[in-house]
Amino acid sequence: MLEPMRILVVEDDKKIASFVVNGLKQSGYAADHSADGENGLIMAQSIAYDAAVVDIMLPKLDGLSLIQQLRAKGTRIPVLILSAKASVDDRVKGLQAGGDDYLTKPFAFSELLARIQALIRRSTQATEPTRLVVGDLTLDLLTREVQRGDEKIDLQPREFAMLEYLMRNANRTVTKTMILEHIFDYSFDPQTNVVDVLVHRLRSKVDKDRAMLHTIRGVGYVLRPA
Amino acid sequence: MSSGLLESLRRNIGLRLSLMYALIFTLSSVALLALAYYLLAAAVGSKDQEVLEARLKEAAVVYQAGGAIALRSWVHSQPLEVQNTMFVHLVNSYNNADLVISAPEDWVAFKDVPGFEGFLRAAYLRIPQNAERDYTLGRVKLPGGWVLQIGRTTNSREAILNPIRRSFLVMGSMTVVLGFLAGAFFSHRAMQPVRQIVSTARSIIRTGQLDARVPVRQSDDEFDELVRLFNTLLDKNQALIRAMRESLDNVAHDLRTPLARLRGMAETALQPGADPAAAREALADCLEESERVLSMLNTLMDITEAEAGMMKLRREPADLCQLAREVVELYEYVAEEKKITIRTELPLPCEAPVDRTRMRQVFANLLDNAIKYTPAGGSVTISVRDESGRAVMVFRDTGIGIPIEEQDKIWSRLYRGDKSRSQRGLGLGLSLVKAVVEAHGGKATVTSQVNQGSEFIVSLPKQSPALAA
Repeated sequence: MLEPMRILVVEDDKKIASFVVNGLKQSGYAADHSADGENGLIMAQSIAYDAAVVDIMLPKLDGLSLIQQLRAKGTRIPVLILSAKASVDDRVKGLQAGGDDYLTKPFAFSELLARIQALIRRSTQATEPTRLVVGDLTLDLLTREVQRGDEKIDLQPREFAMLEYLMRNANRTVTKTMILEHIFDYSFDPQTNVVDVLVHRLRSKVDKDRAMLHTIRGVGYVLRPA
Repeated sequence: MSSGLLESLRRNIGLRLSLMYALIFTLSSVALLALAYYLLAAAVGSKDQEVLEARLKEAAVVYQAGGAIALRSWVHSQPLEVQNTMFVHLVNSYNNADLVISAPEDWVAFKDVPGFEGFLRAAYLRIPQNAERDYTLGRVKLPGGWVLQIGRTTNSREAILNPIRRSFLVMGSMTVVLGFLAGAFFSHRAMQPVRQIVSTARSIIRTGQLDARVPVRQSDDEFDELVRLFNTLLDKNQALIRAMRESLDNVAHDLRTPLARLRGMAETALQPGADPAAAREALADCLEESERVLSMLNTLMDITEAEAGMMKLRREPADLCQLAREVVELYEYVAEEKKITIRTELPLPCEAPVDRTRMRQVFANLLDNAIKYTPAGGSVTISVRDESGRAVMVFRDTGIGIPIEEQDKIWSRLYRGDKSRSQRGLGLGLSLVKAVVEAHGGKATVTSQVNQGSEFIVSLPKQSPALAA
């Protein structure tokens, strides 16, 4: 059997750390935890992790310096930055220091998981499929055709993008924030829930029996085979 | 003592400036006075020599015509005041003959005129005696080895120069004192704004009262500018601190309600013997409520930053029509669900320097608002017009309208009109619109009639304002 992916979590808040570590373990990853930056740096250099989750505010060595030192030594491990700072400048700083993605606290665990998976996917260069299949639902990325069983379904571009995103993340919860960023390229929360409306429309077209596209209240949506 | 003086000299720019001022003033006036004195003395001296030279010539002629006797009678023929001040002396270096023709009383003392023989060419010798008496000797060679010396008292020289010297000394010292005083005065005056800034800063640090300001002198010089900038800095800080205090108050107040709800839900879920399904439901409610709190917190922070002028705007030329079309696209499905038509009258690209993300947020909030308060079957029209250097975006709806008395209040934070309470929302959307638009140097206004509809107007400058001082 394949060795589980190993993820390093560098976070000084005990509750957040245990919530992340336990969540990762439940999702089938091996996860190690370090409560300070210095120790985190040593661990990152001694074990070949598949990804790291690094908080910015850390005792002894802050997260940005940790990432910079890792990168200076040529370590290419994908890093997801966790931070309570939400401004664009902080994001840019984090990415410039060598982070691969940035997630603002408070966050939904499902979003953290989806982002880590995306990072690992990118770093392992998984080949891009041309056809996505979830249950009896198929989506062809080349012809842009969607089928549920034998029935062909016509989707508008945004509905198509949304379905593609849900299918790529099948069985994983995607949050409203992720959808807004990904489908609408919006980094803020519109007051009326435009995502709800989009999901509602998509559901009425591809999932009339409400068997596949589920709403996880307070978190987001998930597409599962019926 | 001296180290204390040096220390205060090092630390006191005003004292240093005035000392330097006085020093330069002293040096230059001393140089000027010395030059004037030298020129004056030289002029007086040459006048004395001219008189002496005329006498020498005359006496030489007299001697050559009639010898020592003629010379003696020439002396006696002179006016008395000349006789009393004239010294006539014949010396023969071959036979050491020494013939004094005329010698005023006080000349006797140096009949020999020490060293004068040695001067072969120098024709004149000045013999200053003391402050009151001064003599000058001239000589000319006569045939037969004779040398004729004529001297005259030049007391007048001292008489002229002495008071001049004295007055120069007085003038000089007065100049020094005046220089120091003027220097002290000017540097004191020049340093006045600095002292005022220091005392203002001290009083703010000591008392924590932020409303102290440095008085402005309206002189338009560099110090005035410094003072104005300092005051502007204080104004900005004060505004910022006030805004922070206010928003902290607001946030504390507005977080209490959702937190109380959160707490209530969590307590419900924890009730002993609670139904697991109901507990799950309560937890989901908690998540949703916490999302709301977070979103409210973020929006409040944005509004506060924008109002305090601290919002970082990445301004670049952007087509407002394009931004509006993107927002329309975002709300397309929402409007369809509510059976509201969105019309756009965006014929031309309309460029203005704005922060794209922020402006999309502004347009989204306005469109959101319009859709929310327009009943099914109504319409929302977005149009743009160009108004003397300003881009004006208009969001017109056929909605329920806003009563006159509420039209000012809709922009304030967390204000919700009677009719809007039933709608989902934070009551922050329009405050954010106003704050962001104003941070761009624009204006957001509304005109509305109840049951007819509202028109929200955003007017933005098409030129990026120069960085205001």
